[in-house]
Amino acid sequence: MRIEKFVLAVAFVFSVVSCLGQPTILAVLPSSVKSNLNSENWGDRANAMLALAQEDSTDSREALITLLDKETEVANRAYLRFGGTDAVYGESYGEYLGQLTDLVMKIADNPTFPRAIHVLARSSCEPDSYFARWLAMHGETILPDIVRLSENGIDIDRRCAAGVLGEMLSNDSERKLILSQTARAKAKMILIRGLKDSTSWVKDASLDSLTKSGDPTDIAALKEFMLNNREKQQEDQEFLRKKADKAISSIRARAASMSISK
Amino acid sequence: MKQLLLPLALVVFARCSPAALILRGRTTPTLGYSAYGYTTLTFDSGTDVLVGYSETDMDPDLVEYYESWVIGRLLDSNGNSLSSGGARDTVGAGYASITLQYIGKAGATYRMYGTHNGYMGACDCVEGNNYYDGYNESYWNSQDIVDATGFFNFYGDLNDSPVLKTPTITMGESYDSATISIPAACGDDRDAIIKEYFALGVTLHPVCPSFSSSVPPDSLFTFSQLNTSYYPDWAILLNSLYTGIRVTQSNYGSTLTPTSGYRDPRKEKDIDTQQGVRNWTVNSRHEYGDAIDLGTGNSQTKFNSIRSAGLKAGACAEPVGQSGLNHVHLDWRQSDGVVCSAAWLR
Repeated sequence: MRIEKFVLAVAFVFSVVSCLGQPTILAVLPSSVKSNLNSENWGDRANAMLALAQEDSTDSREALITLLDKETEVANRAYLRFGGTDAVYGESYGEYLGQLTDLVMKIADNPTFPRAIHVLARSSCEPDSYFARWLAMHGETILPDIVRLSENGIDIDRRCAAGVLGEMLSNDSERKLILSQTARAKAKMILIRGLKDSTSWVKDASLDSLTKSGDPTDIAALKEFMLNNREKQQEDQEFLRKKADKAISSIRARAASMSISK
Repeated sequence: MKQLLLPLALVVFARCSPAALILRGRTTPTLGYSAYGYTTLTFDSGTDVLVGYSETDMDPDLVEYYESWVIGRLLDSNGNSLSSGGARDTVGAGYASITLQYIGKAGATYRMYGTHNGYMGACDCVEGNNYYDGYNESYWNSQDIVDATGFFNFYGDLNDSPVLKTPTITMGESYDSATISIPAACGDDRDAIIKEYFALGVTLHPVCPSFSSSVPPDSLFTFSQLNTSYYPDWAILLNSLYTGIRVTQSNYGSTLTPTSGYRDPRKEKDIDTQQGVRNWTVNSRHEYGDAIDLGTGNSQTKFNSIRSAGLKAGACAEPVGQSGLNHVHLDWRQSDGVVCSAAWLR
């Protein structure tokens, strides 16, 4: 009998502790915010974002992170179906997404919310944006997310990955962050693979990244690119060939200055 | 919101700005209850209608003995009455309100005054046809009450006029007011465009000189290329836009092709409504006169190059996942002191 009571007591305590560990977002947020967060209309979700941004609570921050994750899916679907969110949600959607990204970036600075940086890394980016550079500063923490971006079927995600990895390698060579040998090799491999991408802008972003972070071991791949890359438009082909040439020159110049400094 | 707490029983506050609040009338400490009043004046630029509103509210304790009473007066800048009216709470709702409307004229200033009173409801609640002044309000004002005796009650027959000439008790009468100045008219399409900014809730409130009808001689694009609004003669085109375009083209090294520039709020709304935007106030930089969309011919390398050239020219650039491949959106909001998102920034 005593053992049964003990087991029951343990089970009760366990269930309470388990409940405490669960996300309490839906229980705590006001019902209007909850319904706006789940609305099909992005204007409602944007209003929920504004309401959450006024709150200084764990739940509101978690809800914002979750909202960005959701919007990434929404934006990806719109890009694949319509070529961009403007075409289906209007230009203001981009402003909303930008505001949401900024809010989650602030949350990611707080180590209490480790999920934030991964959600941000999975959202798309422009390879030459401040956001891409900010992501790159997180190094190996986000490498798996960026590798996943580089492998998915959305060309602008692969383009974003090329930009972030180039910045990461550049930061590594300037000792702004330290990458392991494995991470460095993985990043380099993705950039070289980017030269054979099916789209010209992933090649373009990969060339930009190699220009700023490549080393002499990349020159062979760049030469091969100059010889064999074909684009539908002659103009694009010439543009990318010149970029590859510039990348080789930059790598050589960097190697020369490093050998002098040694 | 301005709140004035009297050391006495009556509290009156005005919650419109700018609102002057003047209290009049003698008051006597009685119980801890409150009466409130406020007045607002708004202007709907879409319809030109001025809406004046004034309200008197009473705490539930007071409602038993006094009715809320409000008088509103809408005046022009010379003090001439344009509209007036009053309302009394005869059903015990606890408040009385008056709404006055008037068609406003550009270049004029209007003021709405609210006077907040209490009206003592006469009741035959004590044997002998007595009026019952529950909170002894008759003591703290100068009404024509001849014989108000007793602390809580004063007595008199309804037909006995010398006892109580009027049942009105002005509870420390108060005034407040709100003022609106309507900007002067431009006398052309700009008036309609300015109205759109108010009517559609855009943060920017332009005035006549905010608009231009031509471009400077060194502009790379013509006025009609930069003005893609519903109004062909007028557009807001900021200097930061001209400079930004020039530097972008120089960075890009080739001729740029604009596909959209200034849009009036109605045009912007129509575009966004077609795309299903609801419940969200659009504040596009195209309405501010510092944004441009540049054609890419759906070329990925052109998109990258134009975007990069714009960023180097200090622009905020919309990511391709939003804009789509056919154009690059650039704006120079940062020259206007507005920060753009990290995703749009170089």
